[in-house]
Amino acid sequence: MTLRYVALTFVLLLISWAAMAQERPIFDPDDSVDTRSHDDALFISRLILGGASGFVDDYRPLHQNTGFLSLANSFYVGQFQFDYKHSEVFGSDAPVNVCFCNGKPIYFPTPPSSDDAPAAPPPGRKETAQFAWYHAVGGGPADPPVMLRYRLSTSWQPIDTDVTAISTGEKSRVSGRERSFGLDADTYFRIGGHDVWGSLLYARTVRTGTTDNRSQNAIAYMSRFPGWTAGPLLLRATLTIGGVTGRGSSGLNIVNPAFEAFWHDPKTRMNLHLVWSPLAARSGAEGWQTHHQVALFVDRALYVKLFRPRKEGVNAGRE
Amino acid sequence: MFLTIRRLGSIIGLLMLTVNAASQTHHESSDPFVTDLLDITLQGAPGCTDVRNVLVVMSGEENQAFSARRDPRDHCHWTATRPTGSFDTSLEHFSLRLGSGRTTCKPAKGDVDKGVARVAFLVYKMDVRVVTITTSPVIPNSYIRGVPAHSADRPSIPCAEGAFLTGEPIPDVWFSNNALHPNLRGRQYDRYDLTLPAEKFRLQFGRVKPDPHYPGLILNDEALTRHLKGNEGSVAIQEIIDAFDEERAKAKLSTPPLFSPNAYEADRQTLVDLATDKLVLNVFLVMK
Repeated sequence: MTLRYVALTFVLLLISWAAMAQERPIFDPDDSVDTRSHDDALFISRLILGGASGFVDDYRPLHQNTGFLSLANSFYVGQFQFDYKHSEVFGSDAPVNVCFCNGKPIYFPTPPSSDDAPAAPPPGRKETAQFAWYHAVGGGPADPPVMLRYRLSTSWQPIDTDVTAISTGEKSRVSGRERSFGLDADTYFRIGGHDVWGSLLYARTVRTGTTDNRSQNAIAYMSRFPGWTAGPLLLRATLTIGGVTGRGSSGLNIVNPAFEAFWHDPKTRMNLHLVWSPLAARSGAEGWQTHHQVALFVDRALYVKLFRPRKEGVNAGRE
Repeated sequence: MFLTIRRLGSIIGLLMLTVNAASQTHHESSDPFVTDLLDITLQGAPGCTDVRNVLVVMSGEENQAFSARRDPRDHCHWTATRPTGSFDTSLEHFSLRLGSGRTTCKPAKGDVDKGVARVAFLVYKMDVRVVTITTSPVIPNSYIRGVPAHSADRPSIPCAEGAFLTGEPIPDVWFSNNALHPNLRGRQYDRYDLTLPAEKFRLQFGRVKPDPHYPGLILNDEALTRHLKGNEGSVAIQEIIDAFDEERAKAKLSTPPLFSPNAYEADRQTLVDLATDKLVLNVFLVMK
């Protein structure tokens, strides 16, 4: 009964938060864990390190190469997952100058216009909290049900910008932030006897208190194709299509395939990821443009704890 | 007049044929019918004469399979008596282990006149293996065989069959073409009918009872069989985890296709807790 209330509350949250979501950063590895595979609670802390060329943040190209570091803490209990992730993106901040012309501040370089894709937030730290619910659907006499995940995310990134007044050379700091709220729901259906896997993404991102305040809503569908092997490598492809507001173009304006190679080194227990993610995005000012994002990164679990492990020996087991 | 007599004769003839046909037809009923006798008819290639031994599995209970006897006058006809008592045809379904193959799962129909339950199976060409699985150290494991229905073999139904693993040989496990590594095959390619979906043999580590809702590791999948050499092999804990990872990436474990390092660690930790990091899975595949 309690579980039913929690599930109901979750559904209500989904509905009430339905105006929010975000694209997953390229360096954020899958962290779904089938809750049927372990009866006990599970905690995993994971470190991710790497770099990306042509880094893209929520469909907004940063136009520079970056390094990144992320510490992801995930706690799985019952049908639920809780995450807290701290990430740092390392890159260069573009200097910003300001002219107080006619009493209004005008910033240089000039921020993108309202019918152009917004600039990505400058490299920096970001805090993300996530809550997910796993739910088994479908299945049949010969096949177990399919486990899908529905996840809410909220992230917060401080944006401090050093601004130089053109007339006086005086330096000041503008402190703002970007908040993002998101929903990521796995989907599964069958067409012509074939499984079709995907995720429905809905997002809202708002930047305030900065020299370039913008907001965007994004709704997208990511098709997730089954992986395949090439020697020790696992390979896969995804295709995301969707629409993002706040860039002077309506309707479908995002097409984002991605290709990932994954290799696990059993000796070091590190995972190596190579991701190529070309983003085709349309804005009112510039039409369709393609940005190529390539990331190479490694991740490794720092701490893994399966709570209340069962070690009753030979006759141990679960029913 | 002559025409009328001929018509009457034809009608009487038709009536007699109909009555005769009706008298030869068994009164089969799909209503609940309780019996302990099962009447089995085998149909299709490779032919009933190839079948030497028939084991009957009722409603997925592999560890309670019972044998059938061949009718000496008809090699396609077998009968079995359930040793543990009667069953209700409306509640149970059946499948067969034939030594050279296995069948789909089907419900039986009650023959009220003869007091038996009747079921007919198509016999396909397929690659089957006798699978023997042991673990070192010994841990409790179960397995589930997910068997799809086949449209050519009506009224077959999808079913799950399973049991606790005792280390005894498991007969007639149906391997897909991909699951058989070239050095495992040992038979001509045309042995396997590519139109048939193979069963999925899901190994459930640490389970004392088979659980149809738990995916487990698919044993008759290339992710695991590639670690075997010839018809047998020892698969260490790392290879088991790798096989889980590959099957998950290919969306074979009833989740979306995932490259999830956390799932990888969860598998590792679960197996380590079960077997203190020394689990070796010994698999022997015996061809018939």
